[in-house]
Amino acid sequence: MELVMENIGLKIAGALLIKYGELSVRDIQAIPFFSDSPHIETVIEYLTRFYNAEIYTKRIASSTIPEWEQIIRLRK
Amino acid sequence: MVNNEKLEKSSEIEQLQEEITKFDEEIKNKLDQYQKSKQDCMCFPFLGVTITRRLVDEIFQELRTKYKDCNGRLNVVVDSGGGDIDAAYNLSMLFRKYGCNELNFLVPRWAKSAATLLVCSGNKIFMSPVAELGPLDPQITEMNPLERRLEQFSPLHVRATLDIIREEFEKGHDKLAKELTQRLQFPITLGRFIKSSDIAEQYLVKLLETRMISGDKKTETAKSIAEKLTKGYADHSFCINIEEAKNIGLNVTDLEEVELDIIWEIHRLNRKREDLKEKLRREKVKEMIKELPPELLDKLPEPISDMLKTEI
Repeated sequence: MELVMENIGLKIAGALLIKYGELSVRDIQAIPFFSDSPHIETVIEYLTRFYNAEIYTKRIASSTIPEWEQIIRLRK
Repeated sequence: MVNNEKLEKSSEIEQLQEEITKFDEEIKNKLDQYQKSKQDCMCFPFLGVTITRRLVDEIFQELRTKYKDCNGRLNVVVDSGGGDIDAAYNLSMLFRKYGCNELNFLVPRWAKSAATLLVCSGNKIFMSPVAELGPLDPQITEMNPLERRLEQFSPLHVRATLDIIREEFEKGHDKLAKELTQRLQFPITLGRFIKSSDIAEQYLVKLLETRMISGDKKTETAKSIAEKLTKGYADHSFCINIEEAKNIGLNVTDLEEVELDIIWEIHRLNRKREDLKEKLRREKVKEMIKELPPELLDKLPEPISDMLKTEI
């Protein structure tokens, strides 16, 4: 059951990445089917490998205290 | 009806954003309060951060614009699960440049894995009673070409697997040992995995013997701590609390009284802020999913969730 849910989650994450071009790691964690997933690192690895994407880090501009997030984006 | 729902949703989102801003301000006030209590020694919040190569650029930018007047003294509040070991070493050297006279790391709760390397680069680590450091055996995610599956493991697992095969050969169980050997990846790849724990050990020795550990036997002591942190624990999640950190020889001090009150409050406020941000993110992601064209989902290949099994 858990794997079926994660399969749906993977498909949605892939679709979001294709539609928006980039997705933060925290957005991926917020996809309902990945709630409490122990495999989140592997999910990220899957997305970068299978969608030819890369990870970069950027500062969250709206925050008054310094804060950064990891973004997965499709390679151009 | 749909419009009403949208309005309610947007006011809920605005309210969440306002609450997050309030927490931001409260955290900033607590950081200022801590700074004042430490004779204006500047305090850097390294909160909820994953250590990556790109983060080094970002932190450098932050330090060179906002911390250039720190007079060689810097306190860093750390809450991190770790990340890239090379980036952690580079960040360590960067923090040292700004804390050239004194560099202390304050850990209210987590400085695991590569973040443990980072906190070992200062003069002292201050830990709360529930703070945790962690082992430095690198975590590797690789595709198992035989089983087409992503596997996550530590070089310690590779050593343990090779030991099992050696034992089976010695016991005369040749068939079992050969079958196990056939399922292994290429020898050069295995060698590269094992070597990766040596990199962490080298970085640790370099950092410890040049700041935290002093005296005639500083290199031996640094080596012994580094060996323990890279190879001495059975699992990557092992909880190295303040007693254990002291036992292995790190220069660790208890966070106490007012200092503990302020640093713990920063952690607590940050956790509350993170919870709100998560709630906000869930709302945002729900909206993003609603916008997905159904034909896009249909076109995508079925992912094989077996790939997510992480075992060795």
